[in-house]
Amino acid sequence: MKASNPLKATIGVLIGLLTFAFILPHFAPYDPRRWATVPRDQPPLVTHPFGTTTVGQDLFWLSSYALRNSITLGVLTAFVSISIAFLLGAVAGFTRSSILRHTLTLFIDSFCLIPGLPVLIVLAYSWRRYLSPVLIALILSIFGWAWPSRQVRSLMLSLRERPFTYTALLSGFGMTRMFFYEYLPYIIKWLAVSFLGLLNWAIGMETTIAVFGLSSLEEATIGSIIYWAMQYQAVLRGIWWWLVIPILILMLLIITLYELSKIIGELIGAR
Amino acid sequence: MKGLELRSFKLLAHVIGRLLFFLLTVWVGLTATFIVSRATPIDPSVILVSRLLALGSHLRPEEILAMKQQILELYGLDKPVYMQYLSFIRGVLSGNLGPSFAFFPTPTINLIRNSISWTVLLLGFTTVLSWIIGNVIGVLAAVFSRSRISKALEWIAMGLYPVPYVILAILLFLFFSLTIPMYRGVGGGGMIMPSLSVSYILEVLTRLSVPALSIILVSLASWFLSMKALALSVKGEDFVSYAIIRGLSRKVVTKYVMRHSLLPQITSLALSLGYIFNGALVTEYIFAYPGLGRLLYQAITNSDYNLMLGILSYSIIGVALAAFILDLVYPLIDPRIRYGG
Repeated sequence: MKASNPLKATIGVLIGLLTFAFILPHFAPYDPRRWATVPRDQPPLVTHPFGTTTVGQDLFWLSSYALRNSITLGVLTAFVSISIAFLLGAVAGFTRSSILRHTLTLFIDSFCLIPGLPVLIVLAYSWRRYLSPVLIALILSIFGWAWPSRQVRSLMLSLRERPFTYTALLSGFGMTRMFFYEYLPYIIKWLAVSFLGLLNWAIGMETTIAVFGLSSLEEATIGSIIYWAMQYQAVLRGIWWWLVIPILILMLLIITLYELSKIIGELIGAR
Repeated sequence: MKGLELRSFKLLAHVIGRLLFFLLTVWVGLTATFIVSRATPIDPSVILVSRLLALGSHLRPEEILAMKQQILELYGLDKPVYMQYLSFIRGVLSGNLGPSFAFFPTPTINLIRNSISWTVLLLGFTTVLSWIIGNVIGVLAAVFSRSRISKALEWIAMGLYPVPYVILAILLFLFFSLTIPMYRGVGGGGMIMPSLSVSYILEVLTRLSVPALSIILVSLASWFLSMKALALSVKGEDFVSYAIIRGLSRKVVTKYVMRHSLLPQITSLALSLGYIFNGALVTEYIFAYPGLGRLLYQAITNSDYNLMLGILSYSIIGVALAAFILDLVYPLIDPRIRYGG
């Protein structure tokens, strides 16, 4: 009962953000990405609640578009990464061949260790003409899978050592059946937590490579708004809202997702 | 006698295992770099030729073709793929990556060498400091888990931990540049000549301070949270309860808990070095700190593909090497590897 209040608050904020990102863009009076649709450099007021940018975009509609793209990109990355992570992690934790297990473990660990950002930057740089949120999501997935994969592997290994596994095996339960009926439901709950973690990682990573100027800059994402605000020296010229508002939205989203993943984690752990 | 043999065998197995991991990481990383560099729609020779043509030189078409051929040969791009792969690996290992495009004809390796010490300084300083402080506070917060300070710290850490490095760096940059009137965008400024004078060391420290702060805040929160969780679970174990029942002082109990929770923290430090390095790259760029991050940004804006690949290769080797060194320190802390069993 104690956890219900933070849970309600978190879900409330999340629903608010999702409404902002996925329902609001349908009511946009014009394509928010287009330049010179509204007066330039207007501070946040009733007519433009989040203010306007130097190139004449309304930041309110623009950030709702951007949030939609960022979340979509994050979900896609998380989905692809989780699939790879589950496949490799499950094989590494489940296989009987110790050579295969050790090789896969080393492989997963080395992908955890390799600094992904420069690799992603070089990739994004060489494909920069074709960059779209979908392509960025695929590029991010190259490194996204490593940490969750490590987690799946250690989960599998610990499950195999539990007494219930031995009881089931000695009672004539097959290992394959064990995997699908006993292990999988347990691991899927953990994957839900990893999914939220990956979503956060992907959104943060997109912002990072966007700051280097390597995201799909014509398309609105949270990262690309920050990039353009920095390119136009927004804060130096006193147009602080151009930089501060996307950052606040991003932080709100990330902290909400983190809270949610923590609450879910505690619910699973409590069982 | 037998104990001694077992002991050295365990230690040797650990060292060999970690050496294999180091080599494998470098190999996987460099291979990935090679694949990335070849699976691209851009042709470096075209970039270089168009760069030369943009300078205003007038050449006949056949001369341009000859020049392209020359460049392809210089970078070994006319050979079959496996030969290119071998020569790429050899080039990285021998430090011979050819000239940089943007700062032609300075060799890429010289540019990287100038920046890498700044990055190592920043990374070493921040990682060591945040790891130590985070772990000490984490253990204390777990031992005194009922105190208000412990709960307040956890709240702060939970707010900081999920924030990406880049966002915190931008926020800190805004904060310092708006609140301190004479703030010089610490980290920037012209080149300074290394010397052993006090003013040089002070200059380095000022340039280091703010970028370091932004990395330390995020890392500190993450080490604090994981240490607290680990220490809380160790605290619930029988030997700790026994120590408390025996009437041992809080100090001794804290020491027991600390000792047991440190080992997984070292393992995760070794594995998250790459992640911290990513954070350092973007922080360096935001604060114009003269490390690899800024060099990487220069490489991007100047379309210097060769420099990018160089930075990428040496980042991988550097991070893997740091993790390897940390793995060699591990037996000093974990007696099970030193003495076996």
